[in-house]
Amino acid sequence: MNMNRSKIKILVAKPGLDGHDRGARVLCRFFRDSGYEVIYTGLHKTAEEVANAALQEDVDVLGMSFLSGAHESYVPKILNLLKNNGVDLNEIVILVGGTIPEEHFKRLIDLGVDGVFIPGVPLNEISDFIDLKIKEKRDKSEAQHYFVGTKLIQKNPV
Amino acid sequence: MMVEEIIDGIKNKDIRSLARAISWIEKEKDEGIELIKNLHHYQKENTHIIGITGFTGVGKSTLLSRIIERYRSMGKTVGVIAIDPSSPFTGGALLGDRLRLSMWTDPGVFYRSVSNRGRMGGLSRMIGDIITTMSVFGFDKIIIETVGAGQSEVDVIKIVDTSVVVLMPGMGDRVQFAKAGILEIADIFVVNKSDLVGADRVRQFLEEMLNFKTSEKRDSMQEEWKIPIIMTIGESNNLKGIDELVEKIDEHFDYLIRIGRLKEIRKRRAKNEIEMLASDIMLRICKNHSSDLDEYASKVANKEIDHYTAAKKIVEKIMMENAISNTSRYT
Repeated sequence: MNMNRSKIKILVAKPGLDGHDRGARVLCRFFRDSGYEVIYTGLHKTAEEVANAALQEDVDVLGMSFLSGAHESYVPKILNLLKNNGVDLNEIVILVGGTIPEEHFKRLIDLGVDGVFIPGVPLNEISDFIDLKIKEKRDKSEAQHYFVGTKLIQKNPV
Repeated sequence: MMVEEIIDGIKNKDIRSLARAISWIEKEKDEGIELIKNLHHYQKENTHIIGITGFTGVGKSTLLSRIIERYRSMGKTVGVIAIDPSSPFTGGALLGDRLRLSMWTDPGVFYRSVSNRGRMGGLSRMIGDIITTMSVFGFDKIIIETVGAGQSEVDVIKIVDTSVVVLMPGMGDRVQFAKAGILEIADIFVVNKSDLVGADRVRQFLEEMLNFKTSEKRDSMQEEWKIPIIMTIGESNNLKGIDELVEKIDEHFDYLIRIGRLKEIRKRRAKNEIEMLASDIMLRICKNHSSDLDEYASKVANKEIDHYTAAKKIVEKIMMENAISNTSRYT
């Protein structure tokens, strides 16, 4: 039993109108079986609903799944709502997953997203990244890792 | 964030502060204990604590959403604690009840999912601390949703003021009703999905059981609460019985206040909490005496003495040493 993970709370969100949540549900199941606490929002959530759930549940990880291109408008909106409600984005791990075009990766990372996952990434790489990122944020470490598409990259701000 | 900051935040109805405070309690951080110590005297007098319980699949979460809607239309604010089981194997949990919620952005609704994290006795204490925090925030109604299976969850239901037990048709026969312990703690029965075949039969079973129960203790002089059975449909396009249910829940609270029971319930809750904390402290001290523990364990294993005597001797020794002063965590 992984007691450290059981104290990590993940919100898996489906913002927007796309109705495909097989991927999100597979992830929920995987996260649960890996020892995390998972909350799933269900389909068709507005930016306000997702931000409010993340706020009230005080989650450690916010994962958003998009298969329709809606990440372009939803991700900045949700992150802004969180900030406006006093959430420190340096305290939570922000993940985006789904069909995200390669040319959007950088923009999402610049917005404050820690990891962007496209189809084909092995599930355990996602959980390894979550554990790594939680530790980095907790220790406020200098070295920062990001997950971009299918690769883990390191970026040192200095 | 500092404890004082969070306390000020909670008193000023800041959602972020409330959410963080609950995390401290949930994660059993020292800040959580500090928080409760400095917060408890700000609790509101008339917070109504409601428990909704019933087996999986009877429609608790949907019903809860309907109850919240009703209270919001009456202008009442609602804080929700939804408890879901965690896996005994991985410790992981899927907290799925939020899915059924209809009011995600209403500022008068605060919804928090909590896992039981395989706790044995600690669950009700944790929930008790969350209730305290929510009460200071100032919700009119605090609703706890739980499956109610197993001792720790039954203990949670014991700390509420009004407990609503939800059943549905096709859930088993008379014998099952007789053996399910959860039925004894109901203040209100709900037969949900009452459009399904067999709903009347469930009602009939419950009525029989309640008649049996009242004939047992009719000699009491105190005004009796007559446990109602309410037939509901929680599905939104076919709603039934929700207004009546909410009315009864509020009626029960008025009844508790009228006969002076509310103070008694709060005192009983406190007594439980003190007992559990005290035994926690004792257990911790006992484990600190590992050499004695080892020594007695060998003796018991070698059949020199029995474990009852051994336990008594250890406790006597601890009391002699007055080791209480060594415990810093809860003092």
